[in-house]
Amino acid sequence: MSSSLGHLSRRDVLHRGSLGFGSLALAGLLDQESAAAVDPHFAPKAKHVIFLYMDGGVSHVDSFDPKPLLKKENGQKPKFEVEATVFNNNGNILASPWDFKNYGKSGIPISDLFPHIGSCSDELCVMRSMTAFFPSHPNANYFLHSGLILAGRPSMGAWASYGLGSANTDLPTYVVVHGGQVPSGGLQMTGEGFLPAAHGPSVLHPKGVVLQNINPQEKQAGLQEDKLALLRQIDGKLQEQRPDSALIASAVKNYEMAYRMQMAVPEVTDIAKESEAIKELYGLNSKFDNTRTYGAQCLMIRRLFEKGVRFVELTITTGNGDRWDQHGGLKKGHSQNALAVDQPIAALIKDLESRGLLDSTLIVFAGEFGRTPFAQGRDHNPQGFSIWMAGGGIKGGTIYGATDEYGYHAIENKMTVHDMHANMLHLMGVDHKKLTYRCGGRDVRLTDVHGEIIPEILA
Amino acid sequence: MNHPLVHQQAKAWGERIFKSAGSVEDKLRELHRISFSREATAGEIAWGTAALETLGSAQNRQEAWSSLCHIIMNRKEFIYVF
Repeated sequence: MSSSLGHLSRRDVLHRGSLGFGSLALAGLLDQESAAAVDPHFAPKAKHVIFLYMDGGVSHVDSFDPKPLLKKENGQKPKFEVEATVFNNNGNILASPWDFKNYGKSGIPISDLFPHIGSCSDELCVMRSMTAFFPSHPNANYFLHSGLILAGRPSMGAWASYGLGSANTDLPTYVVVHGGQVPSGGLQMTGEGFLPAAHGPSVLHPKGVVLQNINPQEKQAGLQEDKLALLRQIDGKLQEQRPDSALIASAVKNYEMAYRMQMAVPEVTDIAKESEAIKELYGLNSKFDNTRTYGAQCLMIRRLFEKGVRFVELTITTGNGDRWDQHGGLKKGHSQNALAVDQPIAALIKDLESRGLLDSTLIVFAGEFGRTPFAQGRDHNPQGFSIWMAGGGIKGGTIYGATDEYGYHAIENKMTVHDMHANMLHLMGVDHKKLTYRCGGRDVRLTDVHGEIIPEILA
Repeated sequence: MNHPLVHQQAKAWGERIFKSAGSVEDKLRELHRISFSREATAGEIAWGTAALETLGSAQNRQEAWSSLCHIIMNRKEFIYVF
């Protein structure tokens, strides 16, 4: 391969020295799409998406799927066959330590873990018949994010960015606001996989160093701008010589965005400008550190949307005992985890609603699986669990699907993670069957070869 | 663009180049040989010469060279092999 730069490039040397990189790798790098905005397949209901990732597996029978039979048979040996679980140390039926209340006009029952979210019940579509297929955290997490059991495929947010493009150029389309708790399987699962790098998330923190190296080091005013102008000039010459290289074009664009992010990121986190009422609503004055942190994360979302970010995923906070993975210590663990997220999530719903933004924002609350109805704490339960959605295009005040009377298996209107993905894309105006990317000789989808639209959950 | 280590190295490199013998053109050629394993083009010499004027006056010539080194470290041809 000869270089059009008119001299021996480093690549030429490597090639001729037979130490070269595989031509496949190069082809992959060069074959990049631009990150410009593209038209959706049909009119979207949601212009923005929030994925509230509940790391570790929220127990559905203790939150959104009440099972009176557990109370009745509390302490008794299960009358049915118990399948193997991850820890496989299953004991007797365990009733929920929490009571359930019926909330709102819809009367949806939600446990005392989530009283604030309960007050938003008329906005929620609670899906109780969710199923996943993999009981171990990393694989269940990869599946939840990318539709595949293995690591390496693009996450939902990356597909959204690829499908919809960028609404602005100051911030990336897709942002992860990281509470600190790294998901089992790695934060990389939120990444873009084989999609072009422009569709990867910017990972921001709600406090402290929001984004590494965001501040210019230059002391003299205007020096950074001078340098960047000179850089643009010389890189421009390179682009003229190599107009075929999408890689160079992409890298140049990244620098342009990085420059604008220097201004945009501090603006997004300058929460001091918010009213006292808003800060109070989101729990920024809470006694509990993790409520304050998660509250700051939720408050950032609205500000990110105001700057044109389209997809935001939240990971949960750390320093809260374990994440939702309460194999033991159910009462303490789930209470602490709920305390961190309940008020901020409700505040987010209410804040978006009061600004007229809820109709165009899809909110998804989901973990990688649920928890078993037996004791020794609760083990992983992918065969039946709950998620909920609210906002753009979702039928609020609705319950969809059901598990059996023990909350063990989904039995009515069973749905899968693939269906969740298909419906999320649908609400963004994207046909999940048409949004593909060629990888490994296949036109790959977020939904793989699965996924059904569920009309009952759509408004 | 903003990483402290890169700034530190650019500063050190600029200092070394500034203190080395030779004309401005000699130094620019050396910078390009070190960065890209090739000879600088005429355009790059022109660019570099003009850049030094923008980046610093006679008083802070060394800093101008350091800034130029920082720019070179951010050039796409430096960062990527293609």
